[in-house]
Amino acid sequence: MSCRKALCQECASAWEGIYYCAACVTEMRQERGRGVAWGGWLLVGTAVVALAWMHARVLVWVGVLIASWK
Amino acid sequence: MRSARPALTEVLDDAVEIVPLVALPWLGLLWLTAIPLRFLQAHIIVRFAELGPEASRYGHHLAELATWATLLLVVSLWGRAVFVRAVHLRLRTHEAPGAAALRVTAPSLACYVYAALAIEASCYATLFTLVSLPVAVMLAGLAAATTPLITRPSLIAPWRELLATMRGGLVLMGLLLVFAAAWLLASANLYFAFRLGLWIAGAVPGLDLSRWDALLSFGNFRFVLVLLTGGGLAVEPFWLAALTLYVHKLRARASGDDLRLWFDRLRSEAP
Repeated sequence: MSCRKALCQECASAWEGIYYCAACVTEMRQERGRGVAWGGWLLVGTAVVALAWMHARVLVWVGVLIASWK
Repeated sequence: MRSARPALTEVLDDAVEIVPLVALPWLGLLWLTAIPLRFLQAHIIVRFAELGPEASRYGHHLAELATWATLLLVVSLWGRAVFVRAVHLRLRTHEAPGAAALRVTAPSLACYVYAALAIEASCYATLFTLVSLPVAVMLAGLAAATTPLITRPSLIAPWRELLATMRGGLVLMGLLLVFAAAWLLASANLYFAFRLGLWIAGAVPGLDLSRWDALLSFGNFRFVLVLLTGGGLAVEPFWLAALTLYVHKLRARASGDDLRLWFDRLRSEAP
């Protein structure tokens, strides 16, 4: 499904409840065998921390702006 | 020849059917994780309204509340991801998902938290434009619905999956309108439930309900927020289920997977 190919029943393989083609399943198995995707984790982790910090600040900033807009 | 996009009524009908099938216990988990956040958000709005122009002088207190809101948002995102996974597994296997629903993969959860934080922060930043709120509600719901499709940590994957679901713009708009109406109706029903309780309590001799009458009226801003929060909580599982179904049907039709599932269902129903 990740490559968006049309699949027949025989060609589809389930991976954690989702049906993929043989090529995608092979790729995911290799990915799992390769270990942790450190680069991806670093990027997503940094983004989550930065966005969480920004989320709290923006909430206060907008709230104060709207509250004092009378 | 069927349309590549699922019909609005088809998605709504299936959503109403599937929520009771996964309700035990996943609906409870969804509400347990969402209730603290929703009531804190309502409390923050009340604080801002009370402080008014003086709000800037209470930056430390408000920042503390906002930090808690961010932490509780992350908790509620986990609850949403589990609920969506339960609906997703139910759609795939036609069986109760069991503990497998709890096994949300770390990459999909991390990508979902990242996308949801970005959507909500952008929504707050553009709150002055009236469209930002419905757009954020839609994107946040779709981000939850596409969570099971993400298999590796990536900054682009959540947005790519979101874009792929945008093909049925009209159906999504229809869903948004239907659920906005449902939210208001659920809130109105809650109001009548509170008033009914007050009316029944009025039959107890010697009970002075004049204070409660004032508290449970539209003149009380906190009560209005509680009603809207309660209405939102009642509608949220159906909203998430509808979007998960929409994403599932959209992808199944593109790959022919819907026919395979249909044959599976026919086989299982055959005597």
